[in-house]
Amino acid sequence: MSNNPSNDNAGFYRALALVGQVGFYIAVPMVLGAFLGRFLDNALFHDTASLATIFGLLLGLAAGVALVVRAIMRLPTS
Amino acid sequence: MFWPISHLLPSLTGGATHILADAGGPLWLLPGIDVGPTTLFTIGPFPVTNTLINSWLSMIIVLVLFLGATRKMAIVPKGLQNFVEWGAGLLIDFCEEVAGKPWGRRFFPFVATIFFYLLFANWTEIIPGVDSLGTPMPGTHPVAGIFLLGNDSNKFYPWVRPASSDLNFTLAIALISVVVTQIYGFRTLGFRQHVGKYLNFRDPIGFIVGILEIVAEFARIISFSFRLFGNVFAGDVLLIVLGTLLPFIGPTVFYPLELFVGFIQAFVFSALTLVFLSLAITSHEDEHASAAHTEHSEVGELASADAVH
Repeated sequence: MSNNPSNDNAGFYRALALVGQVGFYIAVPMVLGAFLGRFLDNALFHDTASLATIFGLLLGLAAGVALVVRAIMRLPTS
Repeated sequence: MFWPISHLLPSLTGGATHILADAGGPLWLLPGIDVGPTTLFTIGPFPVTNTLINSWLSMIIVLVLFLGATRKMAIVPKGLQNFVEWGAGLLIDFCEEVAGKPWGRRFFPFVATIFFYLLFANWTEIIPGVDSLGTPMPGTHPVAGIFLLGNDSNKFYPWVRPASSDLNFTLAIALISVVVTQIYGFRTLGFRQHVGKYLNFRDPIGFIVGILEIVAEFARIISFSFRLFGNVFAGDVLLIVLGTLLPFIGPTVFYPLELFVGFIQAFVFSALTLVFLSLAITSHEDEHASAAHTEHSEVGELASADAVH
């Protein structure tokens, strides 16, 4: 038995769910990355100013874009 | 007696300023809007807040409605039973459409509980007295013992506040939703396969995808809780502010809007839970297989179309 219902409506609802999710997929990894970078800046490398923060922010952005792309690719094709 | 409108208006405003002058200030003030709830009393170590009271109220409404509807069940439903059966029937159809027939039936109780609970929790926002009845702060002087006017008018602790306007409430429901999704994932895929979704050491790309999955789970918790909280809190503030600026008339325009927003947010919450549940019971292999199957069937359709031509 396949768990993937392949009728059109399921795809529609998943797309609708995605619409509500895309903004958070972009924002949350960036915030997490920035916090991680800030933690590294403060706790580990005392002389890097905000390099790790910027790097974490960019890493979060990359992760967010990858999440959105993946979520779109997972939609059932109809 | 006939009053020309030009005479009536100055006399009305004059009356109002007279009252204001007597009260020594404006008749009422904009209520203080706190993001956090107010603790009313404590049971042992547990603080009981005004939003918690509202969440209990919504539970009671849901229980009374559904117990009342199913108390004297008839084969041919009438009245309340008919109404509730109609709502539940729509939700069952929706679940089956999204998750497939067998799984949709299994997910239905959980998804429907979230939907109806949030629906009534959001709709309590528009009951008169929510946000406007409460205990006066010490040092205030209620008029006739119950009304707060003038500079005292916003100095009270409301007894009831919409449950979803408290981040603790929405975060709790979001955590329940995500944990249940994980439990279904473990139960249907087994421990190895489900953990393999998040920790994959076979190839570097799989490892990064696994990390992304973990980040996505966090994004889910945050998006679930903040979307509901933001919408309901904004609606609550809107009704409070309009009730202050333009009493009686202002909020009536926004009551239908808030009914709609409350319904949409309850629906979005339960629909997303349902979609994530149906994703959780699908393994990566299944997904690839079904994608391959779709491509294959499309090729097959093209081939058969060619054959017809």
